[in-house]
Amino acid sequence: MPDKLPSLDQFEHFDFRELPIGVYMTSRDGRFIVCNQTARRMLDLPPNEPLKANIIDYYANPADRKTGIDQAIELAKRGKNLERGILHLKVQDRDLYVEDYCKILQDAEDNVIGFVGCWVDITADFESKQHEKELQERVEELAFDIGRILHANTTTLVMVIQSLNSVIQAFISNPFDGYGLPSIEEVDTELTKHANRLAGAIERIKKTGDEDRRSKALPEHKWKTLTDQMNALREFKHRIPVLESQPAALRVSAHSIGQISQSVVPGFLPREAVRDLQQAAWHLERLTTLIDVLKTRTAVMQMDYTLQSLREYITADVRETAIRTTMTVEKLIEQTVSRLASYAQSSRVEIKTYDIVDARVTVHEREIVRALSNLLHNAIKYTWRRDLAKAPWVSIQAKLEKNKIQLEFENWGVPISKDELEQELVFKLGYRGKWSTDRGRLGTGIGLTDARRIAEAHGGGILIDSHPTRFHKESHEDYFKQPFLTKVTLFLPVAGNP
Amino acid sequence: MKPRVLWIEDSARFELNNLTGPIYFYGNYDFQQVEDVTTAVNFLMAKPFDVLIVDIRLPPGTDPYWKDLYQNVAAYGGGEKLGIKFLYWLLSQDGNYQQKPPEWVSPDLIGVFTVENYQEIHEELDVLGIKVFKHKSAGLSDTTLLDLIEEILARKSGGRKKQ
Repeated sequence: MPDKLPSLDQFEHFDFRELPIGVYMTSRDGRFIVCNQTARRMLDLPPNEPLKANIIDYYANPADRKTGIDQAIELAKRGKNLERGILHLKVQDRDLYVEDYCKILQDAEDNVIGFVGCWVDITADFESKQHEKELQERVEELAFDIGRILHANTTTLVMVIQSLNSVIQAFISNPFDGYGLPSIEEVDTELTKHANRLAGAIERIKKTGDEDRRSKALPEHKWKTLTDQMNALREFKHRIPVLESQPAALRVSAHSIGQISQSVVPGFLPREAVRDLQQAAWHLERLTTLIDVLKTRTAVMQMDYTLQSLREYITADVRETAIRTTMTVEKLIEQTVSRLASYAQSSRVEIKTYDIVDARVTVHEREIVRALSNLLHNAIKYTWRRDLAKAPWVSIQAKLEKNKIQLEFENWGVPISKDELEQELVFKLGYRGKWSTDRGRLGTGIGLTDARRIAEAHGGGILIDSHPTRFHKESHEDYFKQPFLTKVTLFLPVAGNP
Repeated sequence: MKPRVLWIEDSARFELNNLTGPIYFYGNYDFQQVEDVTTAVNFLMAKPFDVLIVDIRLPPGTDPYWKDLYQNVAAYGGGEKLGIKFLYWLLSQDGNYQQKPPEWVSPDLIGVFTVENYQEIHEELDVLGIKVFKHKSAGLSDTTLLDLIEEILARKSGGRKKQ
């Protein structure tokens, strides 16, 4: 059976009071003459009682009414009606935003005697957009503020690094050769040497003189402390199983022994033995402090890069859109390597580049260099020493395949698990790789996220591969303790290609 | 027998390792440290401790339950406060984890050592009954961790901490 159509008669007799939009008619001075049920509900007016309300009382800003009237009259002169005007009304304490469609009513002499129109309640939508706009403004303000604060902190870090460099220089005869972070083996060798030296000095001084002279030189409890510390120094690797805690513990020990040696009453023990003890304590304290300062310096370098990256990431949208330029891949890599040179040197990691294809890309230089720097920074940070005879290294290669430039960053060290790659967890903002905190690597979890966003904005992307180098069964108990070979490739279209 | 101390802290080996210096130097405690919630649970289930110092911002480790909580930001305001969830479990106020907590644990042997201000987490600490709290900030003395341990032991024995 065909659908029944509504009739014209139904339209002509339709009760506009039941329309789902507000319909009204007012006098020129704002008195409501007609107000349908929907409009009455909007204004909290009783549904059936005579109208005594005046629209002026509902304006959030009464001055808006005159503006609206003037606008409607002006439009009417041009044969138009007021459409989609936004009225901000107040119903008691409630804000009401309506989209107003209004026509003026005139008498025979063309005097304006009133208005007729309809309202659509857009309060929810309006408030949501308002809120969104405020949030956006707040985000922009914050980004600017944070950018400034991070910039100021960067200069503070410069000061810190300069001071640390001076401190390291003051440690004459630095056994670790320069400002770089010493390896675990180097630290172990030096700590063992000096701990044994100090233990030996304690042993010797304990044998000097006789009991009477010794008891006059130092009280009994200090001799006990020396004996306890001598044993602790000889067994420090056993007593302090956490390698990273050894320098701190030995420093406390050395300092304490140094204090005791300063308190030896003169005249009862051979001066050489006392001096020997003081020197040995001082050397160990000095060594452990140097280790700390070198570690701190590397951490500050790391922090400097992280803050710079963070500042660039946060302010990326705030900066004016830069023009893309065409440049060689070689130049891009040069800039990237140059940016990370100090950090690599501090971490004692060599950057090797090879097979750099002779090709060009069209990019936002600053953004792409940041993306590549993030990848190189990760490679340096997460690399282990592969060969005891050589410094650890990371490699950069750039190839051309199917009209895409592939910039590959390879390192040997910290694992990335298969599920982290398959689930793309490593690209999730703020995510730190499961094994990334190995050996104290600071990070924000922004680097890869940011780099991929930039690569994709350039029509490219990022691929990551990480696989074990020794045991290939994940069930092996040392599976995640072995070094992984990780290759991170950022690919970009060749200049002139999409 | 020396009191057994467990420090649950992911920065223990690196940024905060200086704090362990005095503990090893004095040698008065059987001191251990772990870096994530999964490992902490394993340690706690293996044997009892006399003192637990707990960080609030902890990584989950490999256990899927804690990993899931960590990644589920909406769950309770942020994976970065996984330590709170861990404490609720530890003190038997959260029965969602399959493993029951060890019975020897009580609030009086726990101290919280975290970057959050006390105001940010005091409601949870009050609910859990944890009284010992230390805020991590620049300028901590080397003996901060040692002091915390001694404070907990002193409270447990009903005495005041040695000045």
